[in-house]
Amino acid sequence: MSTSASEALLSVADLWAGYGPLEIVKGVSFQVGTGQAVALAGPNGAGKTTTLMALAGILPLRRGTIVLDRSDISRASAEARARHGLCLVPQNRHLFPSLSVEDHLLLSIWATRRDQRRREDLEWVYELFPDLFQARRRPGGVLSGGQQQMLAVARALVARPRVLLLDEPSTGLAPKLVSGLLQKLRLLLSGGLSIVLAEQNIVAAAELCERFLFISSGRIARVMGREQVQEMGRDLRALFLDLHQDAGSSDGR
Amino acid sequence: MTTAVAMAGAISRLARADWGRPLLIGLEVCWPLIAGLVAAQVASAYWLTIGMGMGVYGAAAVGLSIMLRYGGMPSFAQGSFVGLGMYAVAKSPWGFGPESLVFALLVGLLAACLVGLLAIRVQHMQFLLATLAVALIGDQLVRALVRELGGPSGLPVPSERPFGLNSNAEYVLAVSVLLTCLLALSRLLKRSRFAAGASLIGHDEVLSRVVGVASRWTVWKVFVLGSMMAVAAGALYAHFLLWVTPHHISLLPNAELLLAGIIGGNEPSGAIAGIVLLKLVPDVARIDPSAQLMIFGAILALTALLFPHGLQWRTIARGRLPRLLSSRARRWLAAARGAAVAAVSGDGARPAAMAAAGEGAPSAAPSQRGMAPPQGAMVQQRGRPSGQGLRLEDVLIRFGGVRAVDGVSISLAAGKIVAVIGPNGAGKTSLLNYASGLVPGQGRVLFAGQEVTSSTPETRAAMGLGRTFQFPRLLPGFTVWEVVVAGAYRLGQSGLLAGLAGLDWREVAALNRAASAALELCDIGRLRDELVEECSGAELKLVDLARALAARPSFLLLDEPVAGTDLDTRARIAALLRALVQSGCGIMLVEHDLDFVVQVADEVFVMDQGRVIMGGQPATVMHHPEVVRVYIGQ
Repeated sequence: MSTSASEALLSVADLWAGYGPLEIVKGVSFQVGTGQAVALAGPNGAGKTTTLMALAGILPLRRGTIVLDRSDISRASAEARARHGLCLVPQNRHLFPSLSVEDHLLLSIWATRRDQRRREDLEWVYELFPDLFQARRRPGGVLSGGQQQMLAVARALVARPRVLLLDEPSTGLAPKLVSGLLQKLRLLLSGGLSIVLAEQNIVAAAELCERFLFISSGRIARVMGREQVQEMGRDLRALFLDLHQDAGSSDGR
Repeated sequence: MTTAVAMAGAISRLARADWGRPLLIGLEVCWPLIAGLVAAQVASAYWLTIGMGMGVYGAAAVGLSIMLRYGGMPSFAQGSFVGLGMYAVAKSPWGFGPESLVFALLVGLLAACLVGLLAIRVQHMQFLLATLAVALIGDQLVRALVRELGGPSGLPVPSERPFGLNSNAEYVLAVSVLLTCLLALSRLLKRSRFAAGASLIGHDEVLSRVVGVASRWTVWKVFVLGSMMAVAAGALYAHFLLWVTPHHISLLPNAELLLAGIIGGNEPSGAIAGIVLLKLVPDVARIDPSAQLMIFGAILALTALLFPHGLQWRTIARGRLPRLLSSRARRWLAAARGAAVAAVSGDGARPAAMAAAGEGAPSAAPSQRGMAPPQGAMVQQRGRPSGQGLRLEDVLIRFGGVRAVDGVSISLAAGKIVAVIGPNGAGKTSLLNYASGLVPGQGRVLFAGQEVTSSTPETRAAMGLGRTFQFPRLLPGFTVWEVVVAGAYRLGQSGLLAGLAGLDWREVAALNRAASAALELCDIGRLRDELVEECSGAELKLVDLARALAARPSFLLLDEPVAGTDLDTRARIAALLRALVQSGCGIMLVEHDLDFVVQVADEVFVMDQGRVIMGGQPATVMHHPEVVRVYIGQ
């Protein structure tokens, strides 16, 4: 079930991160192989988003190492990590209201790569998300919630990442779009992309991820396989309550 | 820097003690008076003159800090208002002494009312530029009228000193009394209902309108108040100096004041401290006055470099200094602190400190959270008017060539939860925005039996129409409590003057009660003193909901209330919403979580491509083939 160190594409060891005096993530370790998807699950405030922010380099690491394809990027800046192939799709999307869809994509290409295959990449991503092609001249500020999410994912994809960090991509998406998005992500997985997904919608995440890391107050509390999670079904609520209790006993927050 | 952090820690500990708080407030208000009393006894004539300058510009800086805090107005003309006060005294046609003070205040009021109109149109950087233009005009006007104004060496003020003030020491005492009064006023203002709403304006205009603050006229009033503080100080200064020169209305005092305001980080006492610093540094270092602008520029650049988000002393006092520094500066500090921490290795100390901070705050044990639905009786006790529905008729909203909403009519009764579902881009959020008055469109809106189609968002909010946002609006530097209290703004009427006089204490108490109740209802009492930017995504959702509930709305518009929340929180919100409608509140919500919709909604409307394609009982609608086709899929 777990990937051996030799074939791990992304390897995270003893990751600590937080804000000011608050320690949020307290020693998270995991590995992701090429073409694998791993889900970070757990109650609100457990540290899922903070983990992703620290992986992407938006928050500095307090401790720990991040190794991507055998090179240590623990001290690299967010820009350098993106160029290296570790791209984040943030929860609030962070689009520019006045930039058009196409400008968002071009900006991402220019910022991360030096090669000249801009046209190809645009065509590839438009093929993947036909809606964005329709809306390519519209500014980010007037897109619907679904289009915004598509654009946020597409913007990360044109940077040709090796590991995609997705923070709650199903938020604000209609059920049909959620399954559409998952389908596309599965396609990308089979093409060799690796994914780290933070998600509340466990059922949706199980369609994509083979491994679930349940985080509770900044630590990995359980690791489960896809089948195990799917079997739990309705019992997940009980698991979350357990995690809440664990959180309550291990710190006061 | 370590000493500063340690001192800040000691102050915050003192603030938590029962007797410490009134003592700190007393010190915060009276320190200029104490400084003035000491100076009057010991200072030489030279230092008294310097001290008088500090006091006068300190008073103007208090005015500027109020403008920065309530309306985000970085005025570059504050020094010009000091100069205006001085020239008005010198040119007073009503004689000198108290009459000239009155004349100066009247001239200043007129000018402030006129310049304040700028604040209605422009904000932030544009406001800075507009007031820079005002300062330049003032500067040029004095140069142009140089003959009438006594030539380049300035204008004498006839030597009749008012109020029996004769010596320099008496003047310094007078200005320190003025400063203490202004600090007391700003302290009163800080806890007023007016401030609860107005503090949002400079940060987020949409949010301030949604809680019911008519923002543009509010900032006008704040500008007039702040400028009048500068005029009053200037009028006093003219009587002290007995001489007014073009220098007093030039760019230098304006730059000095703005810089002091920035150093002070929106805190009145901080702004005074900034002025003291800026007046001391050139003097102690014996710097040529002509080089001062250069030094101010250097200090400004350094501040911008180290503290890109401005100086927020309150955050620093909470021991969060590293967060305010730029990331590079933060890394240096972290490296230095890492060594210290390794030496002490005090990891176990933090949870205890946090528990102490949370003492007294209502905190449910984690195991009980989400298990007990809120008591219906508790919700009802809040005396919400019932029976106020919302009606939308023939709504048509266009964005460019796109028809986001295309002829929707919905009637929403009080005491019911109506969910609107549909694909992304169907026009659901646009419909919510139209109902709350945030986007224009064609059609009619009736709320609580009145037509509100042409009413502003703030009027609708004041009538009891509440709303939350899909992505809660983040206000960096605000605590959860401040955001939620601002939500209760509509529960009072008192304005700026009542706040300054401290006459609104009854209303403030009511606002505080409503905010506390809302925090309890949403079970986030433990977050009360947390900074908003330190809350997790789902906590912010609850803060946003509590902010809307604090207004005791009669109708709530909720945009994806459970997006990104865990199962536990979801169950709690469902129970809360059911309790709310039982007490007579109406709710319209947009949501993609269909389990949640089935659980809470009485009725469901399905929208697609700007139209309502179906409506009815949740269970029936969800299984309709058309809904499955356009929305659910498979």
